[in-house]
Amino acid sequence: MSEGYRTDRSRVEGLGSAHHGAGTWIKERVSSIFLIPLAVWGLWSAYKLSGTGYDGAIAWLRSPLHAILLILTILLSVYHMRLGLRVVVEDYVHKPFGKGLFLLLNLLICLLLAVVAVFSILKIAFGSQIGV
Amino acid sequence: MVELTLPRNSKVKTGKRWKAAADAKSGAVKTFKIYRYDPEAGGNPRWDAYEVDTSKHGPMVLDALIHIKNTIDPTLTFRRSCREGICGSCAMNIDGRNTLACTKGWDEFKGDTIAISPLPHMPVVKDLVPDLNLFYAQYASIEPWLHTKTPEPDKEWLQTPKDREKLDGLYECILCACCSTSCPSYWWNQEKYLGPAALLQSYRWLADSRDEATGERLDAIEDPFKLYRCHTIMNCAQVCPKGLNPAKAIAETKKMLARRAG
Repeated sequence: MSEGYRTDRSRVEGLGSAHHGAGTWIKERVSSIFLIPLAVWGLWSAYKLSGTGYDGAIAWLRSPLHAILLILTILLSVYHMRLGLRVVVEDYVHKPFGKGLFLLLNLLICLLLAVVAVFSILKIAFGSQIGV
Repeated sequence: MVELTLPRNSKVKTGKRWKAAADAKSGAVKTFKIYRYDPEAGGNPRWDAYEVDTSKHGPMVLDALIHIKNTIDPTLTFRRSCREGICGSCAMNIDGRNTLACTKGWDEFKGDTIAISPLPHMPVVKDLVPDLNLFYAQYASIEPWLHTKTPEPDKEWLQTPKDREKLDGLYECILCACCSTSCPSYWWNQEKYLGPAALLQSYRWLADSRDEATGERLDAIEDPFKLYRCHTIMNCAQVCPKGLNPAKAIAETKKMLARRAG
């Protein structure tokens, strides 16, 4: 059904191809592949930490290996989440203002999450004595 | 935002019930609940129910529809042509699943009532007839013909049997639109996403060893909406009345683009 006198072909052509998309598709898959072992490690660590209390958790995070792996897990998770949420917004929000607003919020919240998480991990990892 | 409820003028109301004839064979009566909409008459669409003596017509849902039109209600409108699953005209939603009325037997449905409505999420021209103009324009946009740059040979363009096999599962598409109109991504972004049917056809030319425009074809569809709205939901493969797998063709296209990107 035509809108005004616009032909159906003109509606299909729209603004033409954006000539990108393959890169995002690869990034989604690569980040998810890395997240498989990291998520398993994260769950296993959470299980092991569950009985050690506050001091145990702080001591665990002071290990450089644990801190580095946790930073990697969080950065990749947030990156992957941002890519995924972007797709959800593009799928369901069609008005330009709403779409722009949600995409900006997505970027801002993901950035904030990443920065706060990394800062918190580093603060503990590089902190002085336990409890100080 | 995506619309989760129908607009007020599209809400489907209960319509007329056509009782079975007095001489109908007991046990052979099935009720066909059919979506009716006439833009000239105005008003909302409605569900009309036809009680049909199935012993008086052939085995397929299309036979029942033709029987209803010929003997009960001549105003019932639907598309049909070949009645053997090759033209794709009688694609419709039968009991919640897109398929061809001519290849679907009415005895395949367990209940007494079979609900029939037009292909979902398309503008309705009348009753079971959807407006497929945009769908056809999407097909035309992928330029479904052989593109070559080498001067034409004296005889045919040659292809090995092995290369020809790569087109199996692709060339059989009859463009009935069952797949595209079953795809939620196509429902939400119909104007920007090409849909499984057009993308299966696009891959049919990408996979053709004789075609010399693979790069241009990939350029034209590498787009977050035209191609990458496919989220591998797989409704397309589930409903295809020819047993094809458009989702796989789309996945192969994405793999080609990933290979090209390095």
